[in-house]
Amino acid sequence: MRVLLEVGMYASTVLLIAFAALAVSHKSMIYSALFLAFLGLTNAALFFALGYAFVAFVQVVVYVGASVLFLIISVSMLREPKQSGISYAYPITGAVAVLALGLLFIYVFGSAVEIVPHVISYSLMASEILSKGSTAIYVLFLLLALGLITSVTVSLKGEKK
Amino acid sequence: MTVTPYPFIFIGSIAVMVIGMFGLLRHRNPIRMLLSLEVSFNGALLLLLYMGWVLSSPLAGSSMALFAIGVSSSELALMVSIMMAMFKEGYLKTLDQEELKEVEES
Repeated sequence: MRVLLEVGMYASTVLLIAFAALAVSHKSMIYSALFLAFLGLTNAALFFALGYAFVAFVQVVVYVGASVLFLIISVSMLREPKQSGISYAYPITGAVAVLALGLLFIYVFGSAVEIVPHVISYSLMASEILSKGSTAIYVLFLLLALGLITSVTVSLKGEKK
Repeated sequence: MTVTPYPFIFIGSIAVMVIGMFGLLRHRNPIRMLLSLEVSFNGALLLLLYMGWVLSSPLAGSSMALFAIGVSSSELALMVSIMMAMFKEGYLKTLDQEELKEVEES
């Protein structure tokens, strides 16, 4: 079971790099945004494997489920401009293959590892944040509210015309 | 109970950050630049959580990661809505920054 989890983590890391390269280099912006969503999902899988289950949940629900989907829908509404096509297919495939071989080398010849996820008490985390970082939370809430108001205002201004 | 750091996650997160930075420098389209920035952010987030895991401070790592995810989500929504509004208003005829500079100069 442990070996299976380790292999899954290796595979997720390779996939992470591949999705990052595809998101940066794909000619179509819609596909780039889609690869960004896959990148977020792979990242969430790695968070989960490291023991950060709640962060993985937030990453999937808030980041991928809301933000990146919003980005995909917005990009799909735009008229896509002609791109100065970057054709990195072979170099990227080669780089990913070399990296995969390197990771396999580490896996085969590296020391034995043991996955020990941390047990995180989120009630403790909440009390720590509230006691030590209350100012930061107020500032964060203000910034988020400001961001929301600005987004709505900007969108409505575009609507009037 | 031994906790051994996984070097491949460290290497992977650094690689993702570098790929994002490369995209940020390479592209001239603002939406593509934003996408590259988000790729880089994902690498940084993984590195943050990994360091929290290695240094045995998961509370600090996860709380900072939650803040970062929240701020990044709002920033992404704000940037995309600004660009959409600029398109609607006609301020942005093109997404290519070099062409934008030419329009500004003329």
